Amino acid sequence: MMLREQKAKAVEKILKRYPDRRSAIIPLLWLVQRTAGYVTPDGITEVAEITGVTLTQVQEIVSFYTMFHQKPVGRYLISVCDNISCSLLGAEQLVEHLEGRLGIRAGETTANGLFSLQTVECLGACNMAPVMIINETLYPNLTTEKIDQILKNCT
Amino acid sequence: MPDAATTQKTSNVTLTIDGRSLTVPEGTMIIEAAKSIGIYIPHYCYHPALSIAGSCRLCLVEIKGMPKLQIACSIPVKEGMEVFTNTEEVKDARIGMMEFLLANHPLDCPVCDRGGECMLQRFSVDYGIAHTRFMDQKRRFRKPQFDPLIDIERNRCILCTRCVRFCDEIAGEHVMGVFNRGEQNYIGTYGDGPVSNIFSGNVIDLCPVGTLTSKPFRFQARVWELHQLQTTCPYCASGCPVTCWTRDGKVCRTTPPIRKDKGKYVLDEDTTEFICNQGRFGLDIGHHAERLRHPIIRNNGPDAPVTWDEAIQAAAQGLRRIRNEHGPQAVAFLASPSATCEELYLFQRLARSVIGTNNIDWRGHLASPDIAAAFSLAMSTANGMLDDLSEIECVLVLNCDLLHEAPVTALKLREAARKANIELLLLGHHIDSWLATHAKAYLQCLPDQEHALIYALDQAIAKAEPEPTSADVDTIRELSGAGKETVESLITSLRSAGSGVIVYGVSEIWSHLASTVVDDLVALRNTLGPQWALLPVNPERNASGAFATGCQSDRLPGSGCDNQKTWEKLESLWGKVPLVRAAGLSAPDILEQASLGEIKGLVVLGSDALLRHPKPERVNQALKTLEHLVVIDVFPSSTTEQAHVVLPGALFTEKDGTYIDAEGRLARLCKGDDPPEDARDNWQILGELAKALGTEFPYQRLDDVFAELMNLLHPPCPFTLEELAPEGPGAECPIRCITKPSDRFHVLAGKYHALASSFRPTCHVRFAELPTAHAEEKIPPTVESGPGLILTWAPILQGRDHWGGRSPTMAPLRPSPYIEIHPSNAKELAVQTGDAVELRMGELRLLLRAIVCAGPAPGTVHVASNLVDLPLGDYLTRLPRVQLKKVEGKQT
Repeated sequence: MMLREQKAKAVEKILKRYPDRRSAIIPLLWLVQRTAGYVTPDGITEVAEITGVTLTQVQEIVSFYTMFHQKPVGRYLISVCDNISCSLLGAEQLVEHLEGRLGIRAGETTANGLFSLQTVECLGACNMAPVMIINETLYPNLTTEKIDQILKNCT
Repeated sequence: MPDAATTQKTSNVTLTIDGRSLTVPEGTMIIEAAKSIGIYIPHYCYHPALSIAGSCRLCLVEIKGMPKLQIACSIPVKEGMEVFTNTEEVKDARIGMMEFLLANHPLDCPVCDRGGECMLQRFSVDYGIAHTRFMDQKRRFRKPQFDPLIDIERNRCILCTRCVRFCDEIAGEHVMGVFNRGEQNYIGTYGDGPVSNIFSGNVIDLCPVGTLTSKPFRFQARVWELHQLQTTCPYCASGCPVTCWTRDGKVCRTTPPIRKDKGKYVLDEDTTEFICNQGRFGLDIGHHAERLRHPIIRNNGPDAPVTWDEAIQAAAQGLRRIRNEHGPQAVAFLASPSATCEELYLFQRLARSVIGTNNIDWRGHLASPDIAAAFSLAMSTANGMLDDLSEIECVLVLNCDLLHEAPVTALKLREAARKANIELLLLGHHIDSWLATHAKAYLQCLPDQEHALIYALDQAIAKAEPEPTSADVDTIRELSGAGKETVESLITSLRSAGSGVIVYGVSEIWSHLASTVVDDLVALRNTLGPQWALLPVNPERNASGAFATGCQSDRLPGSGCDNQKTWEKLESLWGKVPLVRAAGLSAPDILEQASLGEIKGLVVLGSDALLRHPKPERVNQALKTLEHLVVIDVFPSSTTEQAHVVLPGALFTEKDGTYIDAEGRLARLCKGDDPPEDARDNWQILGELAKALGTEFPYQRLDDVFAELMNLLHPPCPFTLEELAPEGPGAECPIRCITKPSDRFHVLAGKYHALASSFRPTCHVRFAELPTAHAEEKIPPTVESGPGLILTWAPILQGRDHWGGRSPTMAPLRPSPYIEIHPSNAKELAVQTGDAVELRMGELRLLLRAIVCAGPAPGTVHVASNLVDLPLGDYLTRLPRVQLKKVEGKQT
């Protein structure tokens, strides 16, 4: 009941944008993720009820898009690009450096729930490679020193 | 099921495939065109009943003028097109595709249940190569619990999505899906839950590989070791042909009918004959531990060994004594609508010619003579068929939960409506919410306003004006609460249809109120005209057979009791004994007279109808009062407990015979096993009983009974029982008859399982002689007054009193007691599907699972009567009102 109770207005606004309710599935899931930190099972049930589709259909979408998290992630979600341009400029070493600093492997979350680390496909910023995104902020032209500085600011 | 794409197009296209010229309707896909001239194009994801996915890429063909190979499943034919299905390039592409599809496949054929009928195996042999170049580690998935009936092995999956499309398109709910993406794609359900629909078992046949297999059949046998028994499903009046795969007489699995391919009988991977789970998994009751295995004479004690001779003599002696002391009218006969036509025919012969009474009926589940009279009218006006839906434009379904009473009939209707081949209309106090999603229009009303609503519709249609008058529309709107457009569209559809069928649920005629509906429908059909037909759907498998064979007090084989010619014919057939023509008692009267001590002797052939009586105490009272009760049955029941003599009979897999389904088609039941221990075939038991009573039946074989019966129903009968379905695998079954009133025996060669003709003597009913106007008098109020929701009910196929409910596989899966609530009432009660609700009816309290759906009319709630413990028999003259309350914190 989270969405319809806590975000009634936002839900209304999203639904109004589309002639077909099914089209609202992704924006609603996004709303769930912003509210709860990840796509919760309750959120999936609620989106299915609001849009009139089955749970399976919602789950198909959630599992297809890597930007939907099916498990809780840390407060800072660090996404490092490991595609060709970034890799040529040292992305792999940056991931190793991050793993060492945070004490986790890519795909994991620190015990204190502060950081999650993952590798992602191209972020569309090859001219600034290597890059990473923390939550919704892009950090260009990375070096290990820059990363240390960025991490220091994350508390 | 003809595809909409092929039926709507009128122009034809000529093309060549592999150098052979052919002409097919425009819009046909290459794969179907090739099939029509016997050229098989290998495929996995393509299925004629499903939408096109184009994902397996195995059906690649070469088309002249196109630079690359194309997939034959999704390229429609074009004039002058030249297609090549077997060039070197095509062969090479298939090898490549097979290599891709097998890249992640575990190649675990020795432990895979699909072995022997796997399309991966088959195409690897026919089109593949023996080695692979893939070196990487194969992708692996963990194996979840999944469905109680379906086993899933994702590592074998080739992602053809046939199962996903079947659930979404045909079963009507997107419960299966493809999760993740890329290499991590896998099929499944949300949270690995069950595939919750009544047709889910079909995904097992649809799966071309070993991903989805049958759990009950898991590791039971290799398919090539099994004997194939081509027979018919005994569970409902849809009358599906099925193949039972047996070993040592035991049914290991059941599938849709098989076909012959290269001299071998195989399950057709492209079959469009889907069956329901009850038929697929529920036929395993043959070797049930509770079976009756030995004759019992009650006075000797239930465990005392009794020989058949002693039992038959005891049975006959009691009947003879009663007949001699009290006359033949003191004896009565009650049959089961699950018995075969031959048994029913012999049973009524036993009553009429050996004992000399017309006290014979099959409707032991009916509570009053009024309802029995409504049944008689319903059955005698039945003339509708849905076999060839391409010739029907409109189907009106009244008060019928078809999905739960005759699932495959519902499936055919829904498919036809989905593909826009028919206009589907629903009407009444309880509509099938599964059909409603594809209905063109539906009207709902309270049960006590049904009569008025049908009358108002009748009036609106009867008027000569092209458009319904606004006064008529307003009346209908007032009664149904529907919008103007809905009402107008429903009336227009009814009036403009060139041909139509009114389908209605006979099992929903439980009350005095509902019994008037049959009159109303006959009148409505007369108003609509001769292009409309009526089709009452009995949930019992052979109710039509019981009616046709004269196993009813007011019926003779093939005609009504008022037909003197039939009496004379029967007298000459049965040895020139004058038959007693005095009217007999119907089942409700037989029970009534038995309680009063007027009926002293009763013979019961299968007690399943009696067990469904809404007032079991009334049945028990009647049986207890009897001086002599003989029961022929397969399972012990409250009826056999009261019996003086119990004669153990044969189940459907243990006997030959025929059944007639709701649409009047004759289907052959085939014997695959002997009855257990001392139990015997029912028709032989009836013969022995007749002999012991002093009249020997002249039949050497069951075929003789069949021939005599058919010559009474449809002379001259063009085939024998043997020809209807030969025994054993490898034999070609010659006939499949689909009959329209115009051509009685339209024979299609080379199909399996015989279906024949409208074996419904009622084709002769002249509607003109039946009531043409609705009763003018007002129906008395038959609903309790006061607050609360009106409770309505009907039995369902998976209910506990159904004899298929004993299946060891299906019994644990019986739905928990539920109550259907209309969304508008659910909103007031703040109830959602899955919530627990408390039902209050007088002093009674009952906890039920809520299902919020469009089925019940607003203001009413609906229960499956054979799932709940409610004294519904007390409410046959006045429908009860109930109070509902949500029980917080409980999910059922």
